[in-house]
Amino acid sequence: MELAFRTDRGQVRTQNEDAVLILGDALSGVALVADGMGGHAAGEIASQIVIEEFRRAFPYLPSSPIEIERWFRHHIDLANEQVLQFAKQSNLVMMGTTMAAVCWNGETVVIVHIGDSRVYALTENELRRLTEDHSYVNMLKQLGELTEEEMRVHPKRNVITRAIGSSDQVEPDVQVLAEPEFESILICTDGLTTHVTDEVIQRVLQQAVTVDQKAEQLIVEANQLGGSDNITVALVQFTDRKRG
Amino acid sequence: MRSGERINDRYRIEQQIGSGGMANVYRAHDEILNRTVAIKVLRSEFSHNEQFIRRFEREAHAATSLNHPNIVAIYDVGDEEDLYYIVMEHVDGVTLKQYLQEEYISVDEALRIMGQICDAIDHAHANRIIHRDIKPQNMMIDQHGNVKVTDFGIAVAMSNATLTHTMSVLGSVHYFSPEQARGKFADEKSDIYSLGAVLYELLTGRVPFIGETPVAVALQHLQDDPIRPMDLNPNVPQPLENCVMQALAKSPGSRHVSVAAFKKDCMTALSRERANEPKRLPVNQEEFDQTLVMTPVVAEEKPDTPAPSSPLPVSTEQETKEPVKKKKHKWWIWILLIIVLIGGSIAAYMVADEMSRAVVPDVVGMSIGDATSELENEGFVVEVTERASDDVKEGEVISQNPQEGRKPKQGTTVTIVVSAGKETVEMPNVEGLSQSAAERMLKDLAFSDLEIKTEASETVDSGDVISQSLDPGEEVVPSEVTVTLVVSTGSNKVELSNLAGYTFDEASTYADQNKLKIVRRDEFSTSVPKGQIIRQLPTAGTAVDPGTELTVIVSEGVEPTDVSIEREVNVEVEQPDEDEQPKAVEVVIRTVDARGEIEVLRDNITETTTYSYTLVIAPDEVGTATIEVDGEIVRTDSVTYAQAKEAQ
Repeated sequence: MELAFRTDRGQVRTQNEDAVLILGDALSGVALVADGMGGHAAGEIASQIVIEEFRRAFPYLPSSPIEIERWFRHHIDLANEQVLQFAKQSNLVMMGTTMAAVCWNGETVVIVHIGDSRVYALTENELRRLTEDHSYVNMLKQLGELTEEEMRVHPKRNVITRAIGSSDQVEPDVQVLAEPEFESILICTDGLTTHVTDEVIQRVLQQAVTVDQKAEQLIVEANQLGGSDNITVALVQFTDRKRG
Repeated sequence: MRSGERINDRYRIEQQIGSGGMANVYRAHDEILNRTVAIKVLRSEFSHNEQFIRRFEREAHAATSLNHPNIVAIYDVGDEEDLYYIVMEHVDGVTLKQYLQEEYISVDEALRIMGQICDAIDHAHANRIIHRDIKPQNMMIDQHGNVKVTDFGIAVAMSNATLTHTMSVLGSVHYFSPEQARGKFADEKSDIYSLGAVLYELLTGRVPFIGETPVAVALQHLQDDPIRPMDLNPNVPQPLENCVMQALAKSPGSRHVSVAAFKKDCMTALSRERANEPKRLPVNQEEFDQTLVMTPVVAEEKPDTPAPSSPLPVSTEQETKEPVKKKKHKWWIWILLIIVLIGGSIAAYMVADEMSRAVVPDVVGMSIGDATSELENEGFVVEVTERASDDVKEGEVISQNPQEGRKPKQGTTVTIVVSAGKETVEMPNVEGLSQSAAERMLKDLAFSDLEIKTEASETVDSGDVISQSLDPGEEVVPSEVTVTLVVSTGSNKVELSNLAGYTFDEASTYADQNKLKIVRRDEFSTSVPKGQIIRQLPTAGTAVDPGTELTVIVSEGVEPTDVSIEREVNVEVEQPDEDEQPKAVEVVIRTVDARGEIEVLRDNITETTTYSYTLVIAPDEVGTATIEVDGEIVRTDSVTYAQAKEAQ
């Protein structure tokens, strides 16, 4: 098991509102990215609230798949409350954050996301996106109303339909997988996927370099193509699982 | 901001009167002009995004050029430190949304309000400003019923994609047009759609589409027809419903040509001339574009439809009026006849009323002939629209309007949509596109069976489509054809490497690998070491076909030259007795060498003498000297080139 992460301000933004957390080892762990939004420092604070919530929660990670899912939902609710409360106290109308996370414990892998941060898995020779963006354009695309191309240029392409901090109730998508045969997992914010295509991501992940270098390479690719947003990647490489 | 605070030493804040996603609105007093104003202040959260600020200001400035009684005037745009604000005319009233309170208002009032809104938008369009966010929340109405529209162009600033990552700034999706839902550029036609949505709400008390999420609402804008206003408010006359529905057409080309045309359509809806106007048929530009033709089934009763190529002219109702009127007359004559036949006027009225209504049968799935006769038997006028369908067999009814079970008056037009068979599309021209672009284009058009072949090409770049199996322009059903694309693998030609410095063996390998015929030529060279290639033909960089002869000139090293060698010969003369006179002998030395035959020496000697001479020997030749003494060859001295070379 090898872990790596990188977060970068990008080429345009003056602040980095993304946050990232990786904790654990080959037996159990959690990797999480959050893409905050809101004026002033609201975005940074929102993403940080989520990171801190899971940093505190990690020592109490349960073992059964059902319990892990419950654990995730519970701490997302707690983070949501904190963001809402902070926004209210500071009189901020728009404060929130996305979240994409992967948690592994024994043979169980749980994938969770809210918003347009994504989780990808590399298996054999295939890169698969495990998450469907909770975004306005992706929902229209799923309904067959927009093509991939129209999605990329849509003026409302960065409008997300779910976020931590957007309402009292937040509904994450949770996937519980038993013994998935992943070689590696990438968790990233849209600063990466806005610019870097799935093909390039796959190529980078398949390179025979260290997981650290792969993370760095992804950041470089996004920045070379404009780096219009903050870019964050977290990589989990299941070296020992690969044989199985 | 608190009341009493001053902006720019001029505007004293009195009270917050509204708040939006990006800005708060305050009532304030302009202490210089001594008047009440409204000030919209950008929330400080957003006052650090420069790009957004610039856009906010630019759009606000554009709107200052608008001067119209139905537009909220903009007096000033300014900033003070981090405070960005717009000073506007203060309207003592409520927003139209608040005014409606989710109930519909009378048709007369709706039209009076709509007329003012149309004037405002028309004025903006004349000044090339598109509102893009027309909604009742952006309209103020005072106690005299005057309406003023606000927030021109602000929507553009709001939707700025580089603005912070957003979640709530989707704006109101209830009034935006299908093209705005798709992310296309909003133009005058989009404003007309939104005006239609507002009118719909004025007439029915509800927005055209209701959904749990913005996406659900957006999807309905794209796909669904709204419930007919007449079904929600029986007071809405058919001509006005026609007007609303045309403004709400999915395709911009099917809407009114201008706000003025829309207004005229609304304002004349209650006129006596239009009292009997039938339900206006949806003239869907897109459907027309897809080979759709309105087929007259009951020819004489079919209203004129405009030419498919032109957008629906506003005056259509004028054209449709005549035949319809005639038809209605016939009906009345018919009913009068019944009345006369039956006699009693009350009974006659009841019968007439019963007669005049009929239940619409379910004709979906029937053949066009069966459906038409069934409907006509019930006394309806049938209007047929064709539409391509992958699921419904050609000639069968896909849908009908009104639905089965409705009880409209007899003589009502029932529109049935009949399948024109599977949808055909015009085969696009993908030659010259990259393979991925071509595949994407074809998949978007629902071509699913693609076959890719590859071929070398001198003219088409590698990865681009050389040719396609179906000719561009051909009408085909995408799901029923296989499209074979021939994709270029690039040029077959080999661009020759520079072989200078390689050995012949290496060059041979290179030639084999590239299927070239190698030819060797040797040359001397003073600069290229022996065995290495000096140059080649064709030269490096030339693109050649496989099988081409590649001539390499191999160095033989430095060209050898003639070699000179000094030789000596000792000619002995016998010493005579002491008293005798020495006897002289004649010595002649000749050489035959690279210089030709030369007599190098002729001498008379009386004593032993050593002579030296030079032989110049050409490569692979032999130089020979002959030494004659008194005409007799006493010695022949031959030196080979190699020997001479060695002696050097």
